[in-house]
Amino acid sequence: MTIREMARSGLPLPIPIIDAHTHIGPQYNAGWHQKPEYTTVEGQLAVYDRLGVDCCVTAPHEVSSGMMEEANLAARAAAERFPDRVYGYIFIAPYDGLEGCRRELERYRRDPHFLGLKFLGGYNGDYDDPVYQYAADFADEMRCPVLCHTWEDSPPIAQTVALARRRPGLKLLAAHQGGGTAQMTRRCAELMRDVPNVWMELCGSLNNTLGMAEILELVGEDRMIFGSDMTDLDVRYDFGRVALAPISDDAKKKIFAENFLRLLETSQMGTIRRMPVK
Amino acid sequence: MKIIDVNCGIGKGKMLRPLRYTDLPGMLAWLDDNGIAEAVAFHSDAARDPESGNARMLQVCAASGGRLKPCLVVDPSLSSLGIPGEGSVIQRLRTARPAALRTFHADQKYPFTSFFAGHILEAARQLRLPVIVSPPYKPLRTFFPALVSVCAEYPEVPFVLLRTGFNRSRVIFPILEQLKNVYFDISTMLDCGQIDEITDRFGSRNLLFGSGLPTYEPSGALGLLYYSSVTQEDRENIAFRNWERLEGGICFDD
Repeated sequence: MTIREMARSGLPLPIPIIDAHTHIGPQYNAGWHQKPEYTTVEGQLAVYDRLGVDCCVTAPHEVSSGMMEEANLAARAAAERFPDRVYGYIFIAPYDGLEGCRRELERYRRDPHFLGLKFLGGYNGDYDDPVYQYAADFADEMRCPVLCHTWEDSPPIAQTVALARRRPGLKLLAAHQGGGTAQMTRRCAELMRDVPNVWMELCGSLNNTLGMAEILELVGEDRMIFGSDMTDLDVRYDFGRVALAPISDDAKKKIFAENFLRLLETSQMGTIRRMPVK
Repeated sequence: MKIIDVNCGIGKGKMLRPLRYTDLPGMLAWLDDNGIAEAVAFHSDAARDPESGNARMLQVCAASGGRLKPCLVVDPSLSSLGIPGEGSVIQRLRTARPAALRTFHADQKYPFTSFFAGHILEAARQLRLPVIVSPPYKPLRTFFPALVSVCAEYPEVPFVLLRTGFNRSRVIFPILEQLKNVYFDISTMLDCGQIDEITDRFGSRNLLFGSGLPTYEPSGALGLLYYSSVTQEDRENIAFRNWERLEGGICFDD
């Protein structure tokens, strides 16, 4: 059976799948709503089991309030409780200044549960802030991935990609297909041509008129990373966008896990220790 | 599993961009590739010129071997509502036999209330015709209170809201709890577990499958349909049975 055929039968996919963009926990402000049982990690993992998603990398929902320390503690606690299924991004926000940023990076840089960094610009300042610049330098040295929020050009996609331009070790994931619309995806793809250390993360595509095959044509199958934004969004939508796409199964395997695993190969931060045999 | 898509269009109008297809063979190829058996579709020309665009839609549907069902775009500023044919609105509808009516009240710049859209609503009431509505993303505060009044005034009319899911749980839940004649397509039901929660709390009878073709690919909505944590019976209700029930309720006979 092809991946598409399995998805049409609603079967969990027997291939490695990493959800590289998640926020565990509840978030009921600003119009967001989740079925309450899915706001627990157990509930989230139960949904993953239906789909065949092996693990997620998370920056818990404290991020939208800019609560750096609390977010990182929550990520660590979840990763300890659910080893091999939950990993963390060190969340960096500018509110505690450089001192706070250094503290969080120092606290978790050798923690194997953390695979990279998460910036939530737009909600929390612009990427030209010295705190983000400092953390980007850190990621350059550590050669780790940094998941950078950008939505409808906030923060500007050019500013987002610029974080990676002079830092070849930094592996930048431009979230939400570069900003959630076809126009933003095209602009991001254009910028990615000159900056090889940028990948496009795919979640939140409900308003994007481009399908996966079209995005693949723009950026190539080696530079697409699957993410869901769970629990802000239902994983099943963007999962379906990849699993049911008219692209090859080899491309889907890259998007679902292989590309992200490749980012971790040279990273000096934590790595995904074990993918379950399915 | 049979799937009927209630959120489709055809034609070259810019409201449907990108143009994944423009004609019947192209549309059927997309439906086939995505495992969609039938679609309720409007013609983009009808948004500009209702009478001729709707006539075109009827022709396309007649040539589709029963796979496309006509959704006629109606305009309250036209005494015939823009429906092709002769005679009164009801006579024209009885001849045309659409599967649904569709309003573009935001684009045509009128409030969706019985005061402004009574013509449409009365015709739909007499024939029990579903009325498909695309709510504007904004302004939230005026559209939904008006919709609630209209739905309460016309309980015999099934109202189908398209692309009303994401960040709208606080609107959807009270509507489903208090109004039985409002239906939602699942095309943007992206609040985490939204379909599961609606089905648990209110049942699946008011959910319909919709993709947004050709503007949007069906794969995201299909992912929601195939993988939601609902029973197979609920899944089939959403996929086709609920629409078949609505269509079966249309009454063109005197």
